[in-house]
Amino acid sequence: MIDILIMIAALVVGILFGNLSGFVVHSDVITGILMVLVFLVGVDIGREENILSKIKVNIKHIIGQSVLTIIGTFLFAWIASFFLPYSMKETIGASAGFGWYSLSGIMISQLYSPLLGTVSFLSNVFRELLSIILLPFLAKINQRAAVSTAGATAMDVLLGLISKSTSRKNTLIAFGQGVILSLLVPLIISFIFM
Amino acid sequence: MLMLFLILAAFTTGLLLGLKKRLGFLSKFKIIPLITLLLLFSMGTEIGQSQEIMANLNSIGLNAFLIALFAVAGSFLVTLLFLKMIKTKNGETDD
Repeated sequence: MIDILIMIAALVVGILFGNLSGFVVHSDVITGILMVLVFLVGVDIGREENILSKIKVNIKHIIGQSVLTIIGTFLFAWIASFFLPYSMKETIGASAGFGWYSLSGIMISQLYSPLLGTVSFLSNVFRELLSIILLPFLAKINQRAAVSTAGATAMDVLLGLISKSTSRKNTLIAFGQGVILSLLVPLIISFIFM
Repeated sequence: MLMLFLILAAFTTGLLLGLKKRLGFLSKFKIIPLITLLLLFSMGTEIGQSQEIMANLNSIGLNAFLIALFAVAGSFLVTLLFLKMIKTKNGETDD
């Protein structure tokens, strides 16, 4: 929760600074730093203790769970595009962060446009917040469906809450879903906006 | 296109090195949060320069919220429906 506030603060300071001073960080510099970030995120995911064996135990459920989360997100983002001033590709692309707002926002503003990057950043911040608020209630209806709402954040920010609200087995599946979606976010966003 | 390739290459290289337990020292410095903040600040300067975004911040926020609401509802409902479907087919419960 503190993290989200600090990240929003960094963005807001940047917006004020850019708006008032007219200074813009050169796009090539941002791309360079973005590559370093993506590299380090890769190292971080790979280094997670016993990540391969943790995933292997429930691999069938984890893959099914991840596919359902992706289909549900994209299907409803497509429906949302009829009510929004964005195309199907833009709306689905904005939703493709699955809650990972920092990476999706930055990637889309570099690959496509700062406008849609902003939309994506905010919509993924909202997704994480909605999931934090709703997950304990949704888990009473169905644990696995509730885990889907957490998207890529199921492996880190939401994991504690998920372990409180769901069974041990579903917590493991949730962790796996977070790993798979985190791996897919940079790939899916690249392919949508290439 | 070049950028896409570079991003994917950086990510894959990092992942493979991580799996081999190389570069573990990097995580001691909390580099990722710092770089993320730097990038968000940089992205902010681009946004702050854009009249198109600054003039429409309210509607952008509302649209973003709608996308989030649909994404959360969609992932919940599709997963729920699918699990109900296999449950009736196999007669087993998963929760």
